[in-house]
Formats: sequence, structure tokens, C-alpha cells
Amino acid sequence: MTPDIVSAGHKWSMLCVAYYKRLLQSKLGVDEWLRLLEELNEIPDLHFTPEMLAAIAPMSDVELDAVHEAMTLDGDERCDVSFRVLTSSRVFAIFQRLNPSLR
Amino acid sequence: MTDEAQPKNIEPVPEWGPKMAALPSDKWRDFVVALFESDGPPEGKGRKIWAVERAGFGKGDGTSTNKVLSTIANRIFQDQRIKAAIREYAEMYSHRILPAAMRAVKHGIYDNAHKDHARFAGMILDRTIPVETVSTVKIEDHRRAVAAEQIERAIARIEALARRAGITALPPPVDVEFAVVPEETP
Repeated sequence: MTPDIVSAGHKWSMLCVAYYKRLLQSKLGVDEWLRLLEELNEIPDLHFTPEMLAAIAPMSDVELDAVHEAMTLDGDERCDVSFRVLTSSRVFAIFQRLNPSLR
Repeated sequence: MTDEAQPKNIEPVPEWGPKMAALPSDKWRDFVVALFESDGPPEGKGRKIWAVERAGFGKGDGTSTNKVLSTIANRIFQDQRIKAAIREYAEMYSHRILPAAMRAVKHGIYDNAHKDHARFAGMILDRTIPVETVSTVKIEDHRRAVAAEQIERAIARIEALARRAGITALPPPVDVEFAVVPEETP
């Protein structure tokens, strides 16, 4: 997928999938496990199919650092600023290079 | 005697609206007018039959039975042209009875003993000094204001992380044009 064609919302969904999959690899409580799996289950829609969700690989350490860097811009629980930064063509292209499954 | 010498007819000639004028004949127009007349039986008590007869439908000698006249009335009522004409005439008629309505209201207001005195007064007050409702809508933007320099610094940090991971040359943004196409039907 070319970054400029994918909507910001779907770019965010793809990053969330990679992020959640990475979190699922760490040691978590059962309740946190269940919450993340339910979040993943809610993501697919008409255009973002379950097959696409399955094809996305978990985030690497570098990607995780990049996401946390963007999240430092958010003041509270809302992700308004990090959303804009991470879904911008410039930054999303970096994630596509770091994680080819996002292409 | 020349035409100029003839006395001019000063009586107003009825001017039908476009819907009334579109009816097939004067009988149809008379039927509509008869429906609005003050005399005649009330609705549900032979009003339509009376209006049909009054408009001149049925036999000229008045021997048509009520069943025949009722059938004629029902057929006329099913015609879309008559429905439109009734609506048009009703609007005109409401203007005609407006002075009488205003006199009735005036009478009700000036007569303190009238049982609807307060209702009439309320009607006029509602129209002349209507109740005003003022709503104040406050819109607040709770989004965090972040300076462009802060965002640029964060992106530069992300790019530095990518470079450290071996991603040196980033692809330039792709400018594309696209159009929304309808989904293929199976």
C-alpha cells in the first residue's frame, strides 16, 4: 500500500496492530492479555480485513521507541498529536521501512 | 351609441386560481364552491351528495337517486385535479373569512365575561410578544497546543532512531491522484 493512499485512520490501525502484537509478546497479566486481544479483534472493518491484520508483524524495539517518542507530545490520555505525527506520510514511511509488513 | 358610452361593468369577475381553472367544467368548480358553502347538511350527513346536486350533476329534473349522486361524488373526489383545486380554494377561502375571524377574536378580548377571554388574549400575545428562548453554545477546543518546533524535534528523533537501525534513505512522499470508483458488484 502506498502511504499517501491509505487514510490516516487506517495507518493508525496498522500501527496499533503492530504495537499490540509487540505488547502481547511481553509478560502481561491475563486481564491485560484479554484487553489487547479484544482491541485487536475490534480493529478490522470493511477495508482493513482480518487477513491484513494477521499479516502485520509485531513492532521492533526501534519502532517502539519511535512510538514512545511521538507519544511524548501528548499531554494526557488523548493521542491527538501523536496521531498526527505517526500517520503523517513522512513518519509512516519510516515505519514501513522498519516494518515491511506495513506496506 | 359608441362602446365608450356603454356603462362599464364594475362587478368583480371571479378569477379562479390555476388549479380551479384546470378543472374540466363549471360544474366541477361549482362542486368545489358548494363544499365550502355555509348551508347544506354537515359532513357525514349527505354533504357530498348535496354538493354534487347543487353543482348540477345528475339528471336535470332532479330524479337522480342518492346512490347515483354518491357514486358521482366519489368519482370526482378520486380525481387529483379536484384535490388540488380544493386545496387552492381553501387557501383563498381562509383569506375571505379572515375579517370575520378577527372580529370574533376582538369580541372575545373586549368581552371580559367571555368564557374564552383569556385564550383569545393569549393567542394575540403569543403572536405579538412571542416567548424568546436564548441558547448559549460554548465550544471549547481541548486539544493540546503543541508548537511546530516540538513536533519537528520528535520527528527528527524518530528519523535518528531509524538511521541507527540502518534505515538511511527514506523514500520521498508519493504524490498520487486517485478517484473514488464504485465497488464491483458480484
